[in-house]
Amino acid sequence: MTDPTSRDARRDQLVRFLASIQRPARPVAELGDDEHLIDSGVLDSMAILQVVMHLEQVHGVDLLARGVDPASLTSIGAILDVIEG
Amino acid sequence: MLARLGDLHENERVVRLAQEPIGQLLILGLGVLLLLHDTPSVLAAPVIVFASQWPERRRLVLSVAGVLTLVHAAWVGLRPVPELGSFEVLPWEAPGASFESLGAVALVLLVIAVTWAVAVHLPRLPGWLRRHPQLAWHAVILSFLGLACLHPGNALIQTLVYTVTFLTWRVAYLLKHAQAGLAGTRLVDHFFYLWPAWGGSRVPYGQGLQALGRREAGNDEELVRSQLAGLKLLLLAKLWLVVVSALKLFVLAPSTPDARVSDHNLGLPRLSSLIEGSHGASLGVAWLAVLIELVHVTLRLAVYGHVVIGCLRLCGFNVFRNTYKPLLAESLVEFWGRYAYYFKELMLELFFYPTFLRLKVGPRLRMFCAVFAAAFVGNLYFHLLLERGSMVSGDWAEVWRVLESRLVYCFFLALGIWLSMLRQQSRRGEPVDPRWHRRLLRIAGVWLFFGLLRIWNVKGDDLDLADRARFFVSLFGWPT
Repeated sequence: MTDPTSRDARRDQLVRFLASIQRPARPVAELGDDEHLIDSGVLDSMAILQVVMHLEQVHGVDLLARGVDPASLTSIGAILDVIEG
Repeated sequence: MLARLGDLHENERVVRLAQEPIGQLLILGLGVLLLLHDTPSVLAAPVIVFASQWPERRRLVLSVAGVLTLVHAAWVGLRPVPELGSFEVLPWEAPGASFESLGAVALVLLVIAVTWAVAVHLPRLPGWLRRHPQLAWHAVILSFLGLACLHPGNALIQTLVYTVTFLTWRVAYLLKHAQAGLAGTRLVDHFFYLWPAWGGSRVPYGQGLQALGRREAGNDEELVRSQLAGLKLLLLAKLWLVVVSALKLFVLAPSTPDARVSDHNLGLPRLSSLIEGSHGASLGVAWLAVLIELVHVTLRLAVYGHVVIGCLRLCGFNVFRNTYKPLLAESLVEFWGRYAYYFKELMLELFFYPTFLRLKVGPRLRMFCAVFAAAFVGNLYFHLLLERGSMVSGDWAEVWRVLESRLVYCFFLALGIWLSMLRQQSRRGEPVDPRWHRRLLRIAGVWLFFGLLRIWNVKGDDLDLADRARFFVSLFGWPT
């Protein structure tokens, strides 16, 4: 059974969430961890807001307290780093 | 044919050919040809050629070109008019142009050097400054504005005001980058984009170094793909320019009575003359004028943005378009993002997110405050700074005349965006109804909203709030 706190499990959960808000470009699951979500056309910058809300509500991350700029949440890897940070 | 042209930069054969000397000659030749339109474009052409021939010195070439451009402006006292389709190498109301003085150019250099030094030393500055560099920067701008109001006619203070407002948003991006750390970057890396060569002194097209650097060509193939995408955009700009010219020639009544028009001109009144009341029209014609005005202004902005972004791409920065099919947007928030992408990004990064992150209230109220911070407060503040000329000369009546209708404009814009975002969120990721008639209805709704909103934003020397309100209610058949 997969550990729900493992990076892979968190990645799967994050990809499912991103798929629910993504634009009709290529599937988000096909993106590498370092690929830029906005540059690749998967998200627009307004959708980053929904990522911020997801981080706050599901993972209890306070970006302001952590000093994270929402504009830096632009790849799956970067978002996972914030979740695990 | 059009689809093939659209995918030009993805076509492997074309990309390979374009890397050959003959291909480069063709790309740059065509690019320069498309830019030979007016004086600023002629100035842009050699910069593009040099920047693409020495990619490793690209930022240096652009920095030097920026300095020379301003020196040239100061030398000849050139004050460019942002004509349709022109490449606005020179900024609006550049200090060099406004004051016809090389000293003003030196002042711009000094301000850039000082802000760069502040950005580099940001981690070692006192706590408040380190945490709130944006507030500190705007405090400096407002202090100079205040000083200029207290000492009207003081040339040095006025030049300072023009200089800092000239660089406002570019320095804002520099400071934002500085908060994330400037490691590995040099002054020249930040110098080239501080010149308002890309989009005048208003919105920095391409944003700051973080965004530009991410999209900068790192090898010949990336450069060629960027250049082909740039050529495509310049061609598109020409196409929209033809449509805009056709609108002026055959549809829209001339803006001045003595202007020459074609015998086949339909004489559709301009929105500004309808609001002024100088042109009587039936209800149907008034509505048509509202919608055609939206199309006209959108295409004009697209032409201008495509030329600027086209040039950036030819230089090797494959950045997003400023305008991307806004007339096909199916929601208000989508239109806002597609109409003027870089303005939206500016408002989002400097007003929306800081507000959203700081407020810990209910989700709807939180969103409301953040949207109003960006689309209302930020938008108003941005346009207030553009009225620097009236402010330094103490003409507060003119400042208020310009801002009073923008106040209404920004309020309804923010309200519309907020409601649109709530609607989008309530769908919880479910796709919208794809049937064509539903799609058409959504697009029509967007046109209607932004067409009506334009009434509060259309320019005209004699237009006041009462005129606009009178015209607005008359569209719904209410007596005025």
